[in-house]
Amino acid sequence: MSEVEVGTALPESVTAAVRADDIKVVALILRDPNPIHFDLDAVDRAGLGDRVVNQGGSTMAYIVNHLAEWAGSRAAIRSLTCSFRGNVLAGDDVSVGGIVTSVVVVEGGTLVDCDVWADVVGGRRAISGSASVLINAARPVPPRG
Amino acid sequence: MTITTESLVEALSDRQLPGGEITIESYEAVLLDEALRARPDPDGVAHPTWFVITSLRCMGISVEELCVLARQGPDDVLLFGSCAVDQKRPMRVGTGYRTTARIGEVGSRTTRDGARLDSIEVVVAVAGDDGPVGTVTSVYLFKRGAA
Repeated sequence: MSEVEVGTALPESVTAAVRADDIKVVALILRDPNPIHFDLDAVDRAGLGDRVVNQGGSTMAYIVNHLAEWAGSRAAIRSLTCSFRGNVLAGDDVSVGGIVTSVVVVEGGTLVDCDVWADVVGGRRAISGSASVLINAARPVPPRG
Repeated sequence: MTITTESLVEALSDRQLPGGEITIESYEAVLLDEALRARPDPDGVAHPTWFVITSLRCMGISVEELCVLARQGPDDVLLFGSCAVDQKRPMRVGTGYRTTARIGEVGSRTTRDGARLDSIEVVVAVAGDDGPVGTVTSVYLFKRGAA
């Protein structure tokens, strides 16, 4: 990884066209019976439009994917805190980004704190949050761009 | 009639929940990675979202039962407010874990539109045979009289 310092922007990534079938799979794995994830009539009754609603945990996972790619492994993520601000619906594109807020050298690597977010492309903020990631010098991170 | 904030705090703060157990089955791990558009991990490290899944499947009560504890009425709307994952060590596919769970802080505030918004924090600690692996802290919001 090139220099990481306070203010460094994480490369932005986009999860394109959230799929209704994926939302159903996650509902099964979560054992989540909320019908807004699979029943369009329920979505309509809830006044949420005409597309099923992505789980907040799935949108949070797009941030996890982003951090894992950036840091080089899933194990590098030490913490992630997310506040859920708005819904992501099937068909939405979701943009994920972050900015470094702290860099501290610790035993075994460098602990990087970031502000992170997930936005519906062309729309609302879905998640705002923060993360801590351990950057291990032995596992270089791909450069930006 | 909606329960008072004082009664909610008294009834739920620091209440222990049953907790539970989970094994990350390999087929579920594969399906989840695909559904989340995640690159599979060659070393068997589970997607960190398994902490969130574990917290929901292993609270020891269902979300519906949590709503009953919160005295959710027909006009009250449940919202997922926030989620914090602390990963001490990664969870692994094919491995079993157990949890302890409790309700943490219970609070209430008034939103900009004047609605009462009660919050219930649920803390789930996840451990394997060789000790703790992480903690998930979720905050559920009940917007009273919003439906």
